Amino acid sequence: MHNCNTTRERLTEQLLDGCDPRMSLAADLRECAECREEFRALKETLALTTRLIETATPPDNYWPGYHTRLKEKLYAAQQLRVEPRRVEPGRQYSGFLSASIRVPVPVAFAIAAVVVLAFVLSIRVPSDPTIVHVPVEVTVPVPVIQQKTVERVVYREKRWKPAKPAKPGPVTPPSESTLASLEGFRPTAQVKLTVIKGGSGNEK
Amino acid sequence: MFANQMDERVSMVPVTDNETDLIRRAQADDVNAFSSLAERYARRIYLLAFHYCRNAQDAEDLSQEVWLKAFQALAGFRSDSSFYTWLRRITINAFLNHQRTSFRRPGQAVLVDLFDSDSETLFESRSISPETIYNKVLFESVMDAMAELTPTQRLMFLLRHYEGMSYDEIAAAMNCSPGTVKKGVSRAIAKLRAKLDMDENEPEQLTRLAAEC
Repeated sequence: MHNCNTTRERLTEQLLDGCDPRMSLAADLRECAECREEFRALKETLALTTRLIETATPPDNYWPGYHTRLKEKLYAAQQLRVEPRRVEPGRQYSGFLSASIRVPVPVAFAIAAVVVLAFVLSIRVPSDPTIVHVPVEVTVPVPVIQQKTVERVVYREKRWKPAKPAKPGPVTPPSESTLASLEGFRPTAQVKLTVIKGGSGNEK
Repeated sequence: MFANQMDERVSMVPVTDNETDLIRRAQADDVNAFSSLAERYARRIYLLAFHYCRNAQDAEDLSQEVWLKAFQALAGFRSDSSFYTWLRRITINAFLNHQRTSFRRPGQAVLVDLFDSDSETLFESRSISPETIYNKVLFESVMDAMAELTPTQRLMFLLRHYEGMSYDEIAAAMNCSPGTVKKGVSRAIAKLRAKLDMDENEPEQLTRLAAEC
């Protein structure tokens, strides 16, 4: 199916390549009068610009002078290369001092803004000079976290069981052997406690 | 199209020495050998410069600047591409540099007057015939049309049409995408076409105009 845009694009390409599109695009050109007109105009335009070359080509007697001038420049360039320029003492840094770099305008504005802002902030004074700031010392308690390992033995009290009331009955006197073992025994006034260290598994 | 014509012209330069040998000698700082190389391609570089600058004096300066840069950079030339391909890359860089610096130069783009007897014109040796007058009219109309293009569009068009370079080659040389080059060439042709838009009888009108001059 004919497409004018595609046909014109191909016409241009083929004419630029120096080909004749009347063969490859014959059907399109036959079908579309606008494309035929486009082909004619394009061909004419490119032919005119090509003819310009012939018109603008300098005559033969121009070239000897051209080459003479070129040769002079080439010798001068060669001379400069052979004899490096002598630098006067102290002048070797003049290039550095006068050197410049190209910076995009937005970047330059941003750098300038940062510099100005830094300058303004550095020289800023209090808005009310009558206010005098007096330093006040305040003691602030600061909690200090201290870590300490405490080892402790925990004793668990045995459950107290109330003593069963003695059965009413006749009281038997201690035997002879009991009395003999309790001879010289005096009940102490202080309770003697023995601490035995151990884990929870060794609780007594 | 034009590249073929220029190739023929380049091949007409008398080959007195092998190009590889000339390059080798020029790399050893032989100015005469380099001048011989320059003689082979000088017309082609000059015409590119001329159509780029649209001014004869600027074209000479720019083309000679290309040769000077090539002379200074020749030590770095490797034979992995042809000498002209390498030279063309230097030419494009020189043109782009010229484009950057020419913004600071006021009053540029002075078209050469073909019949200015006071200056060393390109056509001073040619007799003023009807054909020359016709060429003058044609020349001025095409140069006016070329002036409508931006320098980048002009360079892209010259490289595509006159040098026969592909879009990829131009894109690599100009450090942009092939799509950008294609668009640039397309716009250049559209502008040229609009400026040079002629009907079927235009050549006759030009001839009549030339006869009146």
